[in-house]
This record gives sequence, structure tokens and C-alpha cells, in this order.
Amino acid sequence: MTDSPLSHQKVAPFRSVWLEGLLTFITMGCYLFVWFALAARDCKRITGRSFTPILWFFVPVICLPLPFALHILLSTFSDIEKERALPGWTKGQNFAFNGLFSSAYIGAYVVGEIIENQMLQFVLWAVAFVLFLLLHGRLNRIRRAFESEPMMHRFAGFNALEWVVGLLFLALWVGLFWALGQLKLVNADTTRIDPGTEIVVAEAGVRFTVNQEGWENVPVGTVTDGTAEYELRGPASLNNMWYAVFTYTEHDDFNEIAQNRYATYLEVLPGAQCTAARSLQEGTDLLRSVVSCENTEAGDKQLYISHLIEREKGLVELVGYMWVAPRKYTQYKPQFIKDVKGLIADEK
Amino acid sequence: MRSKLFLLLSLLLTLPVSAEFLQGDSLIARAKQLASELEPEAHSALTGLERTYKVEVKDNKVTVYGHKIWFYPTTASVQNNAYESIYFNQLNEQLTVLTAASISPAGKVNYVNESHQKVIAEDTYNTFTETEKMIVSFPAVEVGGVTLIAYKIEETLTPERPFWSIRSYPQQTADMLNYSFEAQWDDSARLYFDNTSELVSCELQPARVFCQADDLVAAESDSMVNWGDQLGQITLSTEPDWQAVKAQVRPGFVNAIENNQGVQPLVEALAESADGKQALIQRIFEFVARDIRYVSRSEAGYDIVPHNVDETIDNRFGDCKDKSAVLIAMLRAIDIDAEPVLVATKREREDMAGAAAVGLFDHVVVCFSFAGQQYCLDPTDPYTQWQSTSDWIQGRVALNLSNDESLTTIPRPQFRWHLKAKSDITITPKGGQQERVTLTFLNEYASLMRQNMAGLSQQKRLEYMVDVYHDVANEDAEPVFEISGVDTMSSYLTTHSETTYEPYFNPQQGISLAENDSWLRSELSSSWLNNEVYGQFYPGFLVESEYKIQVPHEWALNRFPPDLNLEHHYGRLTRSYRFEPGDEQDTLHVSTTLSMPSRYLAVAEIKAFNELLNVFYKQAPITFGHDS
Repeated sequence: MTDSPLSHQKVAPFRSVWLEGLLTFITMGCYLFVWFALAARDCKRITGRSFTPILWFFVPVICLPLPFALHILLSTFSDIEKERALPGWTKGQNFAFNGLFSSAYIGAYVVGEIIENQMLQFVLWAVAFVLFLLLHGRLNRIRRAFESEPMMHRFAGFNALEWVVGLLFLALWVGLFWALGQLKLVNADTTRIDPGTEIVVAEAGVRFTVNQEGWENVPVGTVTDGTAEYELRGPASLNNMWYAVFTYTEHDDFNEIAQNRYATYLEVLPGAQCTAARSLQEGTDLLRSVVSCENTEAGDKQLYISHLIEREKGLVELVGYMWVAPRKYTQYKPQFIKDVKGLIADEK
Repeated sequence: MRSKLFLLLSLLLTLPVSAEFLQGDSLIARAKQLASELEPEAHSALTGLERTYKVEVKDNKVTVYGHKIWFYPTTASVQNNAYESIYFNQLNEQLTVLTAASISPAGKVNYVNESHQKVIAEDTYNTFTETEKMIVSFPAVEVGGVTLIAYKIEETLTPERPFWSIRSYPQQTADMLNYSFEAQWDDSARLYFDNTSELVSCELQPARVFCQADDLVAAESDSMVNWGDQLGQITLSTEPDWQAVKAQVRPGFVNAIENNQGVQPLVEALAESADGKQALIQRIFEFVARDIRYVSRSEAGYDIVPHNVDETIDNRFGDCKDKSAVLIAMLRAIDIDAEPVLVATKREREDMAGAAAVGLFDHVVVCFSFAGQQYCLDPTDPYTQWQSTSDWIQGRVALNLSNDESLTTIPRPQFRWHLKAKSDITITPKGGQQERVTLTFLNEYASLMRQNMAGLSQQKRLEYMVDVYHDVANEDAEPVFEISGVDTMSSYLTTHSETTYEPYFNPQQGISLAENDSWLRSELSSSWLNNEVYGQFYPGFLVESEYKIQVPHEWALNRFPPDLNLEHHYGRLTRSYRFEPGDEQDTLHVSTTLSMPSRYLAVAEIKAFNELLNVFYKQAPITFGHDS
């Protein structure tokens, strides 16, 4: 027999750490929002303190208030544990837990958005996940000390809504893995390219060096309409980024193609700012043209750059395109442009 | 027996061979013999059967004997070549035609009479000596026939004129089957010999030289050739070296310049209107170039000697020697150490000058240093400002009479032609345009334009510039010109034009324009070199083009001309733009510079050079517009 909460309202019933972990995992962490809201609701019901559960819903979303919110939550847990003489954590343990969890959770976001190290991000998520399971175990212990009642009837540990959402996410996962599997089949020729690799496109008689991470060779037609000789796709974490090599015959006019690029980029990038420059290839009377246009559209940055090289017979061109968030744009643009400008035409 | 034959053969081979000069019946017989030995089908163009020179110097008398026999295989060769030109100086040389005739294929001999000969003056301007040319027109020349001529030119060496020289080109623009040159001299005049032709073999003995060649193939012709620089030649001269040439010419100048009583008052008068020394040099040069008119004055005793300075000043006329002497005297009066410099206006290669000879030169100019810069002024040029160099003497072989240097060349500027073109274009909302163009021709280019317009009336000058505009920019336009700087000797000549163009595109259908940068393009196309056999000197071009293009603001230009930085070892084309948005009109400023420095181009380089010009030409249009 347990005492009723101070408010005489019932708390959420116990659920095993593994089921809670499964729900969190399958919903890709979305269940955390509900968990925080329910935890706050139960703290309010037990202590009568002024928790606003709906606000706690947003704590994992906004991230930055997490250390402060967690501090309140953990202190409340400790107070409840003290009052009910439950085994609990010391202030130091609370502080250490808060530091670890907040660091891992916020760190995973930072690493994902700014540093873009997927392995480190995965490790941090894993740490945060394990710590969450510990926290849930502690909350389970508290909930067991009070009268509980589920919001909805549970079947095999989950209520109907959780089953529906869980199954929906499961379907999403299956679909996603199926799609990835398909993509992998399509991109059987896809080859990862290490930074600093010199790409030699023998059929076009050109070479250039890719100096950024995350590039891969993709089949012709993946990023263009199929008229390119060779295609590369940039890091998958970005919206869109690619290089394509085009060749032209000796009947194609250098000026016409260079100018068409300029006009086309202005057409496809509304309000674009462009630069165009022509020079002679060193020691020859053969031309090279670099046209680049950039704009901002719906908050994202877009850039087209064309490096056209005249040869004794025909022309060859490396086109680069990127469409990324402004922060990524600043990060990727200089080397992206430098790599395009590094195109070298060999005699074909 | 065998050893005796060998001795005889050796003796025969070592015996000096001589050029056999023929005339009269002997020459006719020789011509017939050579024609009979000829295989006519082997020759499809004019062919020389024999050309012989024999020079004799005895008791200070020089006699040059020459005979030539030509074969005419085609109508064209008859039409174009059935005459002979013999150059000589009437003042001190006597030309006698000994035998001249044509022989028909049937063997009929038709002799030249006096009515078939005429003497005409050669080189009437900028010449150092008075050369005449006798033209002998052969009668009754037929296809398959031959012509022959034998002549002699005599000259007596005197203490006043103790020098003499001859120059012979074994290879010419027609095949020559037999060529020989022989000279012998006594102690009265030692001769010095030089041969720059690899096609002849020469044997030099004391007081005698003999050269001979067989089957000389015609020299290939080309678009622009200085034959004297390209063809090997045999030179024979009384002068041992170039210092001796100076010693022959310099005293005449010293003497002429010493008689300069009229110089100081003139200089003082000119100094009154001149501000500073540069301005005074300009005034002095203008006076000599413009106020003393050019009159050829190479009468006896004055072919290499200028008339007294005072006489030339009083006459207000003179030739290049006379005007140079006056200019030197006037410049020396203001403490500028000016010197006479002989110029060979048809020679650019010192290594092909041959033996030292007065006869190499046909012109004289004045050179001096001022403020650390070397200047060479041609006082016969009334169009070129003194700090520029007349284009026809640039890079020409020269001999300064006042120093110990050997042959040199007149300095060339980096850019002979320098043009600044400033275009102010306003494009109207309906697609027409107002164009104002200011052209500034600088230095030698100003001189050329001045030369083209100086003799024209004001109306004709305007018409001339309109024609130029039609050739360069638009043949249908009706520009209105203003011209300044034609009647001065300043370093620039300026033209302003205003042209209105009716709407030529519909802005409603999109804004995509190309302004040709016509003046730049025109200079590029005029720079094309056409030689295919011989190297060629490129005189250098600098074009600075500025465009200010105003368009209605509502057109919202967003496509601008690409920046150009076309750098090549033959030259450079650069372009940049600046865009200034306005309330009603936006302005596009475009600056382009074409820089093609002067240089000698070997024939193997000419194709690559022209291809570069073509690349530059294609990049000249200024493209801009609006795309969305």
C-alpha cells in the first residue's frame, strides 16, 4: 500500500527501463519530449510545486535550457526521495549526472550541426541514451512509491497511442531502410573519395583535385540530365552539392558557351550576384573562363560555378553546384570554388 | 702518262676562272647558244640564262660591265618582264648601253634603239643621293624568246669624290642559270670585298675577286620584304671600314654647319615664344621641318655634302642633308650636342650590310641626348613631334658620323601606334543610342593621321574621318566630327564624333547587348601579319579604350562583361568594369587595354601571333544585359 501524492492525483505507472528505452529509440528520441512532460507532471502532482508540464515538453527540443531544467527536476527527485526515504542520489551525483547528460545531449547537436563528425555524434547520443535510461530508472523508483494510474489502458507495456505511434515509426524505419537499400543498389558504382584525391576523367581528358570530405563518385545522370561525362556528389549531410564534367566539340563556340552559362545561372538563381573572368592558359593562346553566380533563397545559399577550358579541339567544363544552409556555405564555399578552379585539361 | 694527265688536270682546276663579259655579236651568239641548250618545258616563269658583272678599276677610273640574258617562257613573263632597269647616278656616272636586243624563237634579232630607252628619276624624297633609272624596253619579245643587254657604267674617282661601291644580289626573284662577278683593280684604288650570300663561291686574290654560281633558284617573294636584309649580296667598296665612311661624309657637314651666321638670330626669335628648353626644341624642330620646305638638292658636289646652313636658311628649302645641318646648328646654339646620323631607310639588319660603303645610306637625320633620353629627329618629317621618331626610320640601319661606333639602328619605341578611345553611349528606352567618341591618336599614330589629313581642306578632313568611322564602326552611321591637332606638330591628334542611332532592338524582347569596341577591334585586325616566308617586324600597338554606357534604370542590368586578363608573351588584353546604379539611368564603365609591344617575329612565329590577335579580336565585344 502506498501513500497518495500530495495532490491526491495519481502518477504514471512504472514501466521497465527496457520498454522505455525501446520507445525512445523507435521514436528517434521524440518520446523524450513526452517523458519530460510526464516527469514534470508527476513532480507537480507529488510535490504540489508549480511545474508547467507543457513547457517541459520543449526542454529537449530547445536544448540550451536543459541543464537548468534538469537541475530543477533532479533536485525535485532528491526532495521526493528524501521525503519518502527512498534510496536516491546525492547532490554531487545529481550535479555530475546533469553535467554528463547535458553535455552529451547538447554536444551531439553541436557536433551534428557544426563539427559534422557523425561518429562522435553517434557516441554522444549513445551516452545520452544510457544516462536517460538511468534517469528513468530513478523516476520508476519514485513512481512506485506513489499510487499510479495509466492515462490509457496498456497492452504489453504500452498504451494504444504509444502502440500506434510506435508502429508508425517502425513502419517509417522499415521504409527508410528499404529506401536506403534501394539507393545502395542503384549506387552500386558509387565510390567514396578521400580528400586530396586527384580525379582523372580520362574520357574527358581532364583532372582536378577534391579537397573536401564526403564526396563520392556517382553514375552519370545522378546529378545532371545525363549529358555530363562524369559526376561527383558532395557530402550527404548537405542539401545538394555536386560537380559535373562536360565536354564540347570543336564546333562549339567558347564565347557562346561561357555566356550561356552566365545567362543560365542568372535565370535559375533569382537575384544572383555573378562574377565572370576570362584568361589565357599559361603559355598558350587558349582561353579559360570562370563564371560563378550565388544567391540566397528561402534562407539557403546557392552557388553555381563553371570553369570552361578551351583545347586545341573542343572545350571541357567543370560545373559545380551547391545548395546549403548559410553556415555550411561559408564553411564549404572557398574550397569548393578552389577545387573547380583547379581543373586541368590534358591533351585528349 | 697518268701523272702528267693528273698534273694537267690540277693545273686547269687551279687556274683562276674569269667572268666573260660579252657584247655585240658575241653576246647574241651566246644568247642563241644558251637558248638552244635550254629545255623550255623545264621553265614556267621568267628565267635568267646568264648574268655577268665585270668591274675594272684602273688609273682611278671605275668601269662596271654587265650583261644579262633572259628567257621568256610565258605570256605573263613577256607582259611583266620584257624590260631592263639599270640604276646609276647621272652626276658622276656615265651609263652606256652597248648591246640590247630580243631574239625570237625563230632566231630573229630585234635591236633596241634610242626610242626604247628612257631615264627616270628614282627616289625623289628623303634621299641622300640622286639615283636615276634607265629603263630599256625590249622590242618584239615573244613567248619562247630571249632578251639580252650589255652595258657599262663608268665613273672617275676624284679627290672630291674618292669613294665608290657596288652591290650585287646573285639571287633574285627569277631563276638564274649562270651568275658571275669579277673585279680587278690597280694601285690607284684599293677595293674591299664582302660576300653575305651562301649561294655563290668566291675566290679572293690580291687585287682581284671572282664569284660564280649556277642554277640559282628564284628567291621566294612575300607580303613584306626588305630584299636587302634577306638576300645575300656581294659588295665591293673603296672604304675599308665604317670609320672611313664617316671620314668621307663628316667634313661636308662640319663645313656646312660652320657657316651659321643666321642661326643665332633665328634661335633667339624662336626662344621668345618658347617656355623652357623642351618647348624651344619643339619650336626649332617645327621651324626646320615646316618652315624649310623639302627640295631635293643633290646637284654635283652636293650628293653627300649639305649646302651651307645660312644658304638653306635664306632659301627656306633644302633636302635631308641641308635640313639636318640647319637643325644641328640650331640645336647646338642652345647647347644640345646634336649629330648627323646616316640612315639606310631600306635596311634593318646590320649583319646584312656588307662591306662598308657610303652607298648603303640614302638618308640623314639628327640624333642627340636630352635629359637622359636619346632622340632621333627627321627634319624632312613635318608631321611627327620631336619626342617621337618618324616611323620610316625606326629600326633602320644607321651610322652616327660623330662617334667611334660602328653600324647601329635607330631606336624603336615599344609601341609605334598608340590610340586612346573614349566612348560615351546613352542607350534610349526604345533601343536607339546617342554616341560620343573621342579618339586621341598619340605620337607616331598622330603623325600618320596628320600626314593623311594635312593636305586636305577642312571639309575633306571631316569626310576622311567619316570614311574611317564607316570602315571601323558602322558604315551606315552619319557621325558628325570635330578634329583638332592636324596643323600642329603636337604629340597627339584628337577627333570628336557624335552619332545618333535609331532604335535597332526592341527592349521589350529582352536586353542582351554587345558593344563591339570597334576601335580596338580595328587596330587588332590591322595588326595581322601576312608574311609566309620571311620574318617580319611588328611595330607595336597600345590601345586604351574607355566606355561609359548609360541605360534606363528599369532595364536592371545583371549580366556584365567578363573581366579579361589575357596575358601572353606577344601581348596583353585586359578589361574590367564598374557598374553604377542611378535613379533614372544606370551606368556601366568598361576599361580595356590592348598592349602589343613591338618585336621581331620569325616566320615560324607569325601564325601563332596572328592566332593570338584572333583570340583577342573575339574577346573584344563588350557584352551585357538582363537575364532572369
